[in-house]
Amino acid sequence: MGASVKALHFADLHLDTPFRWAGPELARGRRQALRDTLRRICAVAEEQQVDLLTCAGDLYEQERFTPDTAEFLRDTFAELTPIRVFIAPGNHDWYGPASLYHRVEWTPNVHIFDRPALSPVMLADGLTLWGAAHCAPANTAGFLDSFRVDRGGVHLALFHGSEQGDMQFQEEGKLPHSPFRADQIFQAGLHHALVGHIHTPVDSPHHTYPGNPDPLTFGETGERGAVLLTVHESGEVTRERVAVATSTVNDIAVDLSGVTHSGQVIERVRSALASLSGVVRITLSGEVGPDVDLRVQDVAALRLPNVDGIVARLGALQVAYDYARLKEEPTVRGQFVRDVLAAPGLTEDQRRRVIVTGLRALDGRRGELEVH
Amino acid sequence: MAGEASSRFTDVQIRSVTAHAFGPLAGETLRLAEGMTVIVGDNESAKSSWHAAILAALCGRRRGKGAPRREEQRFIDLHKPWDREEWLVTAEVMLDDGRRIELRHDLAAKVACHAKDLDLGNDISAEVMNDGAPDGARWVGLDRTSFAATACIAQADVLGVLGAADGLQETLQRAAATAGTDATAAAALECLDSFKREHVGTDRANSTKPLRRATIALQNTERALDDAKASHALYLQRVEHTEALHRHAHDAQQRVAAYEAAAATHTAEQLCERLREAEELDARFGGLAPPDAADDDEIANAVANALASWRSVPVPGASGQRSSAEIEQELAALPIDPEGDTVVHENVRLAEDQLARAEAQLSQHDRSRPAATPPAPQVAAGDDELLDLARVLDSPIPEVPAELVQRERAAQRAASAPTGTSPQAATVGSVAGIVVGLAALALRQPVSGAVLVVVGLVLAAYAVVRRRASEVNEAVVGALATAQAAVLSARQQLAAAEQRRAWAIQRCGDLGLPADAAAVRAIPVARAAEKSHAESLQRWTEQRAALADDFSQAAGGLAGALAARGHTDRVADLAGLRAATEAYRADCATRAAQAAAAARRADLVRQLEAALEAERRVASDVQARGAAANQLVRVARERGIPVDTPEQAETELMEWQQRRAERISRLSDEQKDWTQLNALLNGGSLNDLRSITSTASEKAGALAARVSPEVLATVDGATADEQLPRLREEAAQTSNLAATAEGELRQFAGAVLSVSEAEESLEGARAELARVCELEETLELTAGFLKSAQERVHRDIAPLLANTVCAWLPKITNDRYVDVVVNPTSLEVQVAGVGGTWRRADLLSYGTAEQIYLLLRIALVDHLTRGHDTCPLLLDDVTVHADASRTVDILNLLHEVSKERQIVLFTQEANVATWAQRQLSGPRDAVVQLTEVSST
Repeated sequence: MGASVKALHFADLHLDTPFRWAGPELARGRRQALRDTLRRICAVAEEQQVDLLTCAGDLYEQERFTPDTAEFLRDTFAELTPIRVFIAPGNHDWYGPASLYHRVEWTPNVHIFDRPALSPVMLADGLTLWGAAHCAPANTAGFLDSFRVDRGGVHLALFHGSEQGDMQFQEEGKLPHSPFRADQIFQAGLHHALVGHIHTPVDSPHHTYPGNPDPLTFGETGERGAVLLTVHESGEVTRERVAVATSTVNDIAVDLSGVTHSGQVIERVRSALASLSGVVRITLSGEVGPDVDLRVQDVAALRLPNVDGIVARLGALQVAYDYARLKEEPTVRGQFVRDVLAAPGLTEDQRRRVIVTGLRALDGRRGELEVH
Repeated sequence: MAGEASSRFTDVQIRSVTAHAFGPLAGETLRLAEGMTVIVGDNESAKSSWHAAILAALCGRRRGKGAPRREEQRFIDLHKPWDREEWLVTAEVMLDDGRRIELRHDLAAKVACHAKDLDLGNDISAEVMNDGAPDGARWVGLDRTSFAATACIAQADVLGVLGAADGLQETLQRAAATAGTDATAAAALECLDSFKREHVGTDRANSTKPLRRATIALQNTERALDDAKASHALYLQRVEHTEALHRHAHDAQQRVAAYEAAAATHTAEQLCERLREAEELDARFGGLAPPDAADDDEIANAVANALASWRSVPVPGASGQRSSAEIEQELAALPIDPEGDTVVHENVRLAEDQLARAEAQLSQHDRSRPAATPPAPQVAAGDDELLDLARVLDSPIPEVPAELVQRERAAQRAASAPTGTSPQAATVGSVAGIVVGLAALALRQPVSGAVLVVVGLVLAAYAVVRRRASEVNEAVVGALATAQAAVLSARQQLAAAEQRRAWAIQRCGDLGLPADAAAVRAIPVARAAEKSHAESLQRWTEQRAALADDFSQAAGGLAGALAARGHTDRVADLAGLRAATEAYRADCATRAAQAAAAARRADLVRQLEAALEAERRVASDVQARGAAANQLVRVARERGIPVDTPEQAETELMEWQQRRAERISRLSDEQKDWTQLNALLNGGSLNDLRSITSTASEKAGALAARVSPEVLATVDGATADEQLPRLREEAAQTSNLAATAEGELRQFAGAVLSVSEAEESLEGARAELARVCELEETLELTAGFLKSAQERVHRDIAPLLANTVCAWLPKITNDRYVDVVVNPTSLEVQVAGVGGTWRRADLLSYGTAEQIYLLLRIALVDHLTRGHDTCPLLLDDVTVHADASRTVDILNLLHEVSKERQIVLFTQEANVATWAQRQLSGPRDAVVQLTEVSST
């Protein structure tokens, strides 16, 4: 191995993934953003004049990909020539007879690892990249189990797997595909593992999870994107995170306390969105006046030039009824409030909705009986 | 209730209200009595303004942001001063804890509002703060809205109750539901139900409402997702299928390439071999063609002919057979054929055989002559008598069985008693007679025997008669008789046997024979043997005579046969006949030998002819062989080979032929190689062949480089060319199939549905259905809670209302009605007279209905105020539609009520004012006369 080698590493782009929280138009926009992000990653690779671009799986979703994704990927990676592209298929883009990886006639600069065991590729004299593929959507064993490099030099690994210690950072419900422990990397004779699967970025001494490069959902934290790595002759790896997302997803809360009518709601939302861009999820909370006809869809339907889309939901929202006074009323209304507040089988959300609905019905607010 | 009025303290009592700026009022104060205050004013006397000012001073206005509500706007329009910015009212109220409170309401800015303890000076607004402003109604558990709805009774309220069907009931329900501020619970429930029908609907097939739409949308999106997944799966399947076809096409192409490479390699190898051979041959000939081998063919032919001629003629020599002379000599020595039999004639042979048989039969018969037997003794007795004697002598003497004797003795002992002997004696006598008679008959004394038998029979008959006569005797007597008869019979048989033996012995003695049964019996036997021998000898003699006659005839036959064959010698006896026969045989043998010798003549003649022919051929061969030898020697000498004998010439010439054949073979091989070289070069030069070979090798190398060595190794290059057309056809077909599938796949790809979009649509449909279901659930829960609350409140309020009205009803109706019930479900009020007849309250006379209504309102105020506290009642022209009598009744009722709560009655009626002037003279009452407000 002569000089150091530069690599740009990414994973978990999830092209063609569904965005169930978004409407049709916004979802399509999100999917296009994922493609834009891949092109951005390639642009960074060229700008940084890297020697190789690595993808540790879940580049796309086998169960959902659209046919033109194949051409998109082929053209995108072909344009990178002569930068070599290495892809280790993951559990979502597992390698099989019908996978894009198998079907596409890749340009020579693209190398797809297609075996469920680590196999070597000589990147340079004394530098070996070991890669493996998921060949099924589940039940892939750990690639590092019983693995040991069989030659000298510097060794990198590229695969899609779950580092057991890092799973705690992952969102709930993530399954441990191809599990491994961090200490297995060094024990296997590898200097560094470029991995994917866990969407939360992880920079461990011997492995790197870049995180999903473009937002997939709300509430994603950490410096996600691509990772620019320099592999030195000694096997030491230095990293620099590069933001490559072409879209942003914001998750904000808007306090509606004191709002007395729906116009004020819109104003507060507009105010909260003024400095934001991309897609914004708004969680409405606070105590609003009893007369406020709050409709979530009205908030979601807001069209602002700086915002690509709005997803609205209710948080800890209360209606500012004087429950203490209402409870004291020796009326049907008072009895109703007492009964609902005391009902043991209701969730707080149900309780709120029932009370507001009942009071509005007693107020004769015929058109405002749907309480969100 | 009336009795308790004096002891109850008014919880909230409005002492005074000051309209600093309120509608047309400015800086005016209205003081209210503790009990009943009647405020009298004509039109334009600001009566309604004061009513509103009291309410505003007590409760204030909501301090909310945004545009005012409709009723608020109306309040502003009606009561905000037209000519100034200030809009201010204050009130002084007394609470039941003794505190004097000033309520101040800046109705314009709603900022300078407070509730202040006038004695202590502190702000107690927080106690009653409601929507940003102090609300004095809160002290009685109401608020400004419910106070207005409950404690303020307007002329319109009474009219509504009296004018509308179910007006009273609805009023009660509204009050029960929301203290009269809003809709009734029933209306709210109807509102919920209506909203549900419109915004949820049912999930029936014909429904077009949101629930059905959402359900259908969910089903549609689920189907759409299934379709999308199926479409995607089909796409993947087609991708896989197309991939497989591409692989097949690729494999087929690879096979073609492999076979092409193998064929090319094979061709190249063949060319290399051809080149090698050509180079090798070319090196041998040096570019010159080899000489022709056929220049001495004529000589060779002459040699071959000479040798052939020499070999074809036979070598003359001894024939190996007898010469013709010898054969002719032998022929001459042969005898002629003899005359006569050469073999024994059949007739002679048959006659000879017949004679032999006759002789043998005669000899055999002679040997069978019967042997002589000894003569039988001469005895004067016949054979039968002798045989009888022998039988008597052989017969044993029987004994009397011992058991018969014992049986007889036992019977005798048993028959000890004598019963007369006549029957037994007769029986014994008869038996004895018969036995002896029989013995006499046996001894050939018929007369005596017969007499004895007859006597015995007579005696027996007598015994029978006697026995039958005595059958009545004891059975023992019968048994004894039986036993005695048996013993007697045995003894008689013994006596008879001994008598016969004695007779036989005596007869033998008479005949001179021993008394031996065997000797006696041998005499008849000897007599029979003697007779048989005589008969046999007679028969033998007769047969021998016949046989001897046969023999003579056979001998004559043989002699005749011999004579017939020429042997006429007379024969005197058998020996002579035999000699003649032998002589005939010997003659036959002699003639047979002669005939055999004579028979060789024909064969010898043929041998002679053959010998003569052979002797002629040998002579010819000798001549031909000489010619051939001369030719052979001549040819050899012509070849320069010195030979003396044809055999030497043959040997030399054969060696010459051998040498020539070897030379010709060598030249022929060279010719073949030369031809092979020309064939290898195929009309071209060696360099041409080198060039072709090089090109082929290069092509083979290029083709081989396209396929793996392993695959190439499996192909037989020698037969590869044969397979290639078929493989190319297969490759073309698979390529076409793959290309077709690829085209179809590309076309299909455009129609593949987006799974992600379908999932998102499904999620949207689920969310919508969840929203509708949640709304349905919320509405149903709400309705349920509302119904439950309504039932409970009505159930609670109904008796309270009934009790309140019941306490007053007899008094205000002069005991026409004495009882009241309120339906807890519908709050319908019914009253009963003394007769017990129930009537709906709203169907009573107007006056009574008004009074009942007012009582109910008072009861409701009591119920709705916290802890059933009392609060002031503000009434506005409630008697305006009543006649004079009803008005008095109402006023009297209100006066009664004012004993326990503050009553403020606004009126414009003179009769009310008159009543008030007359009735409200006490310290707890007051009459206020309003004056006309001047307009500015």
